[in-house]
Amino acid sequence: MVDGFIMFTKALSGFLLENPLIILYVLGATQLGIIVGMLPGLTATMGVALMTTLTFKMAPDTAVLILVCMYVGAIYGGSRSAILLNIPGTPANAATAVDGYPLARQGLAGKAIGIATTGSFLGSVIGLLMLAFFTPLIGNFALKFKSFEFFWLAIFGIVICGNLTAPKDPLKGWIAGFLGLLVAMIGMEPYHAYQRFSFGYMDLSGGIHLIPAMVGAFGFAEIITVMKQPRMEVVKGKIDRIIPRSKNIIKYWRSIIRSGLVGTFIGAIPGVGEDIAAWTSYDLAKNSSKEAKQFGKGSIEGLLVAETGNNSAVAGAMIPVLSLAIPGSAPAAVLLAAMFIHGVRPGPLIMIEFPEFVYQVVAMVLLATTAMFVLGLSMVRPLVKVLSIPREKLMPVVFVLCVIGSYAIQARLFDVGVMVVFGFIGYYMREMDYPIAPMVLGIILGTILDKNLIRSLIISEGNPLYFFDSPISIIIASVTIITFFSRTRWFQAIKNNIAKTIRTKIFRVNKPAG
Amino acid sequence: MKPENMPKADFVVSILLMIFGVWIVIHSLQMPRFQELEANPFSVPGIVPGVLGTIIFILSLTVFIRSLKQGGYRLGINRHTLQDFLRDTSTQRMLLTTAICIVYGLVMIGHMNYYLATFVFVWCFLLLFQYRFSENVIVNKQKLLITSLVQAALTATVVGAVFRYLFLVDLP
Repeated sequence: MVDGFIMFTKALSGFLLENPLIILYVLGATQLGIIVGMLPGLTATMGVALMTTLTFKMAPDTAVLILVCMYVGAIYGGSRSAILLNIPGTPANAATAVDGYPLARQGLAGKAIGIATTGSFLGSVIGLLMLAFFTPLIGNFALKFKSFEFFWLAIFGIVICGNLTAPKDPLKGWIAGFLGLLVAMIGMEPYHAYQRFSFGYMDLSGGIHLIPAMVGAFGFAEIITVMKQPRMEVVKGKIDRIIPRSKNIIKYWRSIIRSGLVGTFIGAIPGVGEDIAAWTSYDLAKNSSKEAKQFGKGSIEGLLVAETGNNSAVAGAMIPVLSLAIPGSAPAAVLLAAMFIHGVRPGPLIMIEFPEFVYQVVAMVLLATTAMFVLGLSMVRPLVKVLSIPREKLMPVVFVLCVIGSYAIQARLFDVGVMVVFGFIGYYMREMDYPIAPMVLGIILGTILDKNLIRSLIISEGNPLYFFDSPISIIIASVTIITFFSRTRWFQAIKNNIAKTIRTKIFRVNKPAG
Repeated sequence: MKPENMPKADFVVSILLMIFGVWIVIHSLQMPRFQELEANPFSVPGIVPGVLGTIIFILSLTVFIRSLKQGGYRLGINRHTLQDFLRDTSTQRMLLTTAICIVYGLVMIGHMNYYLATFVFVWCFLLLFQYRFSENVIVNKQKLLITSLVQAALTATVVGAVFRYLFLVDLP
């Protein structure tokens, strides 16, 4: 704990004292992140992916710092368009629009922006404390993981991510996840160096690189979606007082802490992301609030918890990135890929190989959060003008960046093709209600699954009982299997029977509860 | 997509996914097993994709059966529905965006000078969308022509120069 604090202080002072340009990078990247987040059609994932291509010649710590700033800024920035346009700038801000837009319609746009900024700041602070506390714990715990545990973790990631990102139809979420795992099978396999699904093409034998695939699935797909939609209108009117009154915030301290913790926890679940964190926080606050009727009509508490939830999930999503090399969200997946590009190897060995890097990331999140808070409260009026840029003028520039960004990583035209193909796949997946996040998670988890399933099969000689050999395997497998079958009728029937038995036999209650 | 059309979409997509799943399984079975090298039978390259193909087939089959129950097989595609689909402004915008982006990304890039390709793409995009889909805004043609020309030239020059000289990327 003390070592951690010393490393954190060293990292923070290192950033601030060794390179005076760092402050400029932090402010610039966070501001750019806010603009990217604000503009519908530019998501946090796309911003981080494009920024990866712009930073890969920089020193690793500076590059990762800029990406973290972009990530934090973009997730916050999306609240601006949610409040002023009723269109969330990123999917993470959908819950923000529910109460933010009604507040703006009531002439309280400035107040709403101030509340959203404060909520995002507090959420981020809670998240970064959790990041500093849990990453070393999970990292050290994960050192006990063997191939069986990693196999179950990969399957658990896909199943839980599919379940949470497609709550109405988890089947589609799981299909998306398993398709992602299949995409990861393209290229040379690790045991015999056999080129799977490459059909003699040299470019395919190297596999599908994550960044062009994500730029396509989140960038090009978003361009098509935005260009398809009709024009949107900015809420007209004067922006009132922005800096929120402290009594408006302190009043909801319980909701803020709960949303921060829930947001971080949801963010840490593989692939689930900030949007689910925001909705979960919002629903929990609505169910326990004394002002529940106000939710959806311009509730300050609703707006506050939605933003606390999504920004705490940013730090939460980095916990599995650092400790397990498994991303908690789509932008975190790009961040993970960027870390590998820069030679940092996150995963269970991080607390042995690069323990100081964990605290460097905590310091990065703190710097980004502070910049976001300052910029969020000070640059409101000029930035509203950004929202009035017509999409016809913006989208061709974004596509130009998608093309050159995909190309620049490996200087291969093949990656531009990958971007375009994944753009189509992403667009049609959205149209058909298939979530993209499980597919992205699948592309990352594919390698982990491939290596560990084969290793497990070799060790166990095909005996399935070995897959349930350790308590960790049993727990992860049980949660996975229960999640997988939880929507089936027979599972519901068994659950109801068990509940009935407990009520009648143990508690001797004959009437059903409620 | 309208919710009432979802069973139809599920019906078609699940059939395609089932075919894909079967193809993956067949392809995985055809992968070498390296018996001559006395490789462990559990380490063969086709084992993981084969399992994944099977899972995708089973999940898609579930979607297929559900879409059948919801009447998704009644596709109701005829000339009128196709005409309505193509006349819809959103569809036209989507198709035009897709077409122009594909021409730029897959045809122009790599086959002509990067700066010129980018300039032509941005200019065409701006002209087509601002003029063709101007949504009742009275467009001053001359102003549009000049502003889009300036934006296209700026985009091509700035993006190209930043990647070429700042990030030292050999432009396609």
